[in-house]
Amino acid sequence: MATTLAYVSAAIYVLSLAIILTTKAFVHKSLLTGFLVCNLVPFVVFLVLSATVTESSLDAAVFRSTVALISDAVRVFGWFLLLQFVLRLKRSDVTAASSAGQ
Amino acid sequence: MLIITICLVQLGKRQSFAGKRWLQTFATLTLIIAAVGFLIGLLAASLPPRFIKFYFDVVNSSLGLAASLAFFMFVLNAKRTGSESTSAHVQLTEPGSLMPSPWLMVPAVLAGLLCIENNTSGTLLQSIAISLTNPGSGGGAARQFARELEVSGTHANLAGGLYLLTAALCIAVAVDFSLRFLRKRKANIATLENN
Repeated sequence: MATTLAYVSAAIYVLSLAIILTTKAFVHKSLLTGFLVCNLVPFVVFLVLSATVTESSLDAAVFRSTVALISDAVRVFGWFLLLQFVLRLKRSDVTAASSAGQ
Repeated sequence: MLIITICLVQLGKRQSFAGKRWLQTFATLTLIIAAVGFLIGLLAASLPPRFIKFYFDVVNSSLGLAASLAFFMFVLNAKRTGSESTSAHVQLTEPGSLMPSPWLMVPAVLAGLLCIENNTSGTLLQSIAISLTNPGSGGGAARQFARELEVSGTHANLAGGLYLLTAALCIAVAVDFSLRFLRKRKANIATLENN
């Protein structure tokens, strides 16, 4: 069940990415795209790992944990991009308000 | 967790914009997933293994799915608000772009879900893939894809689901674009006739 739900979540993220990319004038499109890509990377890594690394040796375990660490780092970077998105929205609002006041 | 919390705080301070609530829901759900996962990791030794398995198999995955749906709703909301050109909220998209309506995404999602859930040998996916890509002679790409599907199992279903999702999305975008283009052309002709 967990795998199916993970697949569905990934498909929804792909769909969101498609909508963002096909919508011409989406504000800070690159930041949202980056966030979604970073969210999808761990999923792709999981798929590739489960398809390629099947042995249970110590080397394979070390490799798995290293890749897991990197994909976690990618996910954190994705959240950093989303934070940037929120902050820039706020900043652009402030700019718009001040210019309206003038 | 720290970055998500900062995101949530900043979102709370932010004035209303299209899909704000959905983005907040998404961030909250992700924070819950991260926090509970962290706690379970800390208490793993004292918790029964069955509980940990149940949590990660059912609860964690469901929360993840709910979070992705919330993000999808945020994107749709931002896009729709842009198309409807409301002035009460801050818009995330410019109004009136030639892009597909959200309802056209429904068949795409359904097709994807159907194929991912389908745990058969891939025969259904094979036939749909061939009919979608080349109903006439059956092109090389479709045949290759069908051969790959015969591997069966989860990966075949995933490949088929994502493939159909993309195909349905492309069709939806093409149909919607054509309809909007025709409508715009009709409106232009009517304006010219009136003038």
